[in-house]
Amino acid sequence: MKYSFKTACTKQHLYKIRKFVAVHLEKTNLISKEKYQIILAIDEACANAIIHGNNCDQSRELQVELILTSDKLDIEIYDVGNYLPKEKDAHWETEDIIKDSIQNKKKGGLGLKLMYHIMDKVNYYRREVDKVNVCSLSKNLK
Amino acid sequence: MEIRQYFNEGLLTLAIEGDLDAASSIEMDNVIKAAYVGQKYHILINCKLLNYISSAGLGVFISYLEDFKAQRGSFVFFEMNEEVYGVFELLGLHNIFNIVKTETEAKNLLNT
Amino acid sequence: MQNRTNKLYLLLGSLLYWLSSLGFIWGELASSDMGQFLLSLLIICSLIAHLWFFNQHSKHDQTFEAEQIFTKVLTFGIITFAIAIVPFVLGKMDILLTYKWEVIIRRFSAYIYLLFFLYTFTIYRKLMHIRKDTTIIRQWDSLLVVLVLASLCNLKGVPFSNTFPILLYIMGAIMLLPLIFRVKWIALLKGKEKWLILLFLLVLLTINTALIGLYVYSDLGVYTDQGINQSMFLSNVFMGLVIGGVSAYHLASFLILLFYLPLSSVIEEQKSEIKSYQEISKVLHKEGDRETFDHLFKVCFATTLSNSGWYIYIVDGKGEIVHTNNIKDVDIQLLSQRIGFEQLMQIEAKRGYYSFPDLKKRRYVFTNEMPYRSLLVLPIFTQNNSLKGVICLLKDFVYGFDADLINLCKSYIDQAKLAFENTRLIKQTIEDARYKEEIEIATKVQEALIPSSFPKLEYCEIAAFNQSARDVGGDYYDYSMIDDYSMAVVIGDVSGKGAAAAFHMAQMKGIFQALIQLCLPADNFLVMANHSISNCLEKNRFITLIYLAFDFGFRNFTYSRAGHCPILYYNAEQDEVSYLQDEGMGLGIIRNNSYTNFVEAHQVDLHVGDVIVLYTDGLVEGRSNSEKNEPFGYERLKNCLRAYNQQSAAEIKTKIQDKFNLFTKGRNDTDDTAVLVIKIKHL
Repeated sequence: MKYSFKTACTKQHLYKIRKFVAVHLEKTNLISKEKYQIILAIDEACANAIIHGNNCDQSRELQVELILTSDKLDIEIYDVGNYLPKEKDAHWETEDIIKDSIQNKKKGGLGLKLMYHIMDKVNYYRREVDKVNVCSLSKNLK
Repeated sequence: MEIRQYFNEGLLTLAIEGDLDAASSIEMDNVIKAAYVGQKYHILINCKLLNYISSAGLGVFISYLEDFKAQRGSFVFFEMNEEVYGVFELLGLHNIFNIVKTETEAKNLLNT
Repeated sequence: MQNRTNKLYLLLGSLLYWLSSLGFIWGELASSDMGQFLLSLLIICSLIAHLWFFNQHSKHDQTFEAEQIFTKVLTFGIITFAIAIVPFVLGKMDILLTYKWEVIIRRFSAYIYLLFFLYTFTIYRKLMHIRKDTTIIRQWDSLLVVLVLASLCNLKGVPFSNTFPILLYIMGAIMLLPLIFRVKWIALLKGKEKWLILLFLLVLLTINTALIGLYVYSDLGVYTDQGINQSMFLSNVFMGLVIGGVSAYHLASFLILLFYLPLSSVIEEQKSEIKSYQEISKVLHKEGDRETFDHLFKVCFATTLSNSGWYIYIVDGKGEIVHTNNIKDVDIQLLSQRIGFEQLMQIEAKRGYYSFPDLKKRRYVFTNEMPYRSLLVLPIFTQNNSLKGVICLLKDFVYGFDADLINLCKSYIDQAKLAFENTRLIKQTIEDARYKEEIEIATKVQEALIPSSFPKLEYCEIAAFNQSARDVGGDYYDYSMIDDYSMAVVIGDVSGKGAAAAFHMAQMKGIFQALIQLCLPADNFLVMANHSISNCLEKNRFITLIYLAFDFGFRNFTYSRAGHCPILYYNAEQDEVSYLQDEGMGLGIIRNNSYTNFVEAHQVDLHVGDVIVLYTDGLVEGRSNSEKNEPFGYERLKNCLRAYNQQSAAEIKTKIQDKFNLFTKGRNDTDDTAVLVIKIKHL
């Protein structure tokens, strides 16, 4: 089944997205830790989109779509921003990121890593037809 | 998210309630910054009511880690729930931060 | 009582007669003038008494049928003849009897004579009085007076001149003449009866003549030794008139009947036609179409004197063949095939009949195959030109159906057509009345099912309008406050229009009311609704629907769309009007669990001032009355909301309604239309 959620691009709405995802994850047989991590991954993706893609512009919208089948969960996040992570960000070792964070007092970079850790597939692309940024995540449920 | 602060015997206890996400991490950042400025380097973090933490929340603690270490201070997390601990674990942060079961344990760790 | 007193007259008459006879037996009394006078007086009294009796008797007699009357008369006549011939035979055989016995025998046969002729004479009054009028009654009564006067001629010892009896004869003849030709009963005779009566009359005429002969040979009135006596008729005018009258009536009846015979068949046909008409109209008013048709066939069959026949009665496009006993199914099929029956019936030009005067010549029938030589096909069309049935009549000889017969059949058919039309009209009237009544109820029910006004709600305003293409429609909307912070709204459209759609709409309402109580999430709602609807909705129908669950606490709403028109949404935060595009399949299309795969639930944030417009396809598909015939369309609706989104829900609704009605002005072929406007006023 497909579920969608549309909200304004603001960090203050991240909790709504988490609630929306949580509600629909209740329909799966995942244990609470797994559910938590999936929520986390989506939260990270949305936070990236809101902060980096849209500069927290409230007049812009973000749409989260869940496609839930018995053996797979697909998540699509749509926004009109222009954030696409750099190749190297995705392939940094976790320890390097942490070291970098500690040394440079930087806060970012972990989110993307978490997404890769948690999800089975992470894919960012831009849909040129309607100028929409798509973040596509998926997780096998079996 | 709400943060309650208790200062007692040179130890600052921060009780975090709710979600520590990208939105609330700014407030967290401010609190830690204030503690550092106020020279309260020994910080206990009560995670009993912390439901959720995202990378932004973690980032706050990571970014101050070096500063506090330099002042011989540290963060000690206690009563962390399984899910939140899972996130620390996922990133190997459980090796960098002190995470203990109870408040007593946490105090002992700091007093030694 | 009447009858008994009447019989006393017969007794009296008979007594007087035999008293007078005794007088003759005693020769002394008869030989004296005084004696003869007295005896003849007795006879006169006796005659009058008899006349009275028979006249009364005929009035009370219960027989009216000519056949019965003639049977009685004939029986009586034969007996009379048998008795009357006795003295004649005795005379011829030279059997000598004593004077006394001879007188007794003669008197007896004379008496029988008297009874017979008087009886016959009076009973014929009945025949003469068929279709009587006052003239005939007066004529009869005056004849009786003449007869009474005539009886006086029997008076002996009084010198009468011959002029008096002759005068009486002339008077009697004048009275009798119109009566003799009162033979209207002949026209009423049926079929074989005529021949029987003719035979009766012939026999009666013979007996009559024989009796007259006997009467002439033996003066039975008054016994004399002189044999044939010229003055006999003059002295017994009474009997003369009675016998003459009877004989004349016999002769007249016989001759008229004889000459009437060739004409009778024509008259009879006319009579039966009239009867058929009567019967048809009788049947028509009582029976159903099926019986009427059967009767129509029987009438046509009988009227045309057909040998065989069949008819096809068509109900709901299916023909049922009914045929007479003397024709086989195979023959019917063969004939139908050869004459091209099917094509014949499909000819659009509706001719009243198809006549095949010579089947053999046209090679439709071969020798030794079927005896039929001519065929008449009469199709019966109803008023609205649909074929009701076909009547086929067969005759064993060529040119069996002439124009007259065909016209006759056609006139019967016209009669029947009227009846069919009447039945149809009556049925229709009843149905119309019932339908109207039902629709009225349905409209009321529907009004009760669809809310037309909404209470004041804390978080939002709701306004709606609902226009049905007919009296009732298949559009449906409803709302329900689940708790303080949650509200469910539903809008739906059953495929189809009118009463059936309205019925399903009512079902839908029941299902939704029940499901709303369960506080289901939008997607579950659709899955459950689909399950319930699949169980009760006809296979070829489906329902499109949108379900919205508002959560004013969390400031959002979740909706699921089942093939319904997309939601028109005004986002106050962004000041933007858009259709919420997404997927969804109508309820009742997929009737198993795989429906779940087609359900989507979408969550949208709410802001103060947001407007949600829900509508059915009747709105966007409503066509303009202009030549362009374009639909109202999504863009017009969107512009409407763009222009009026700052107004209240009720005002927005009114604006949309006005624009729509102005656009489709004057068109009455619009679909059912419903619009529901929700405006968020506080969160």
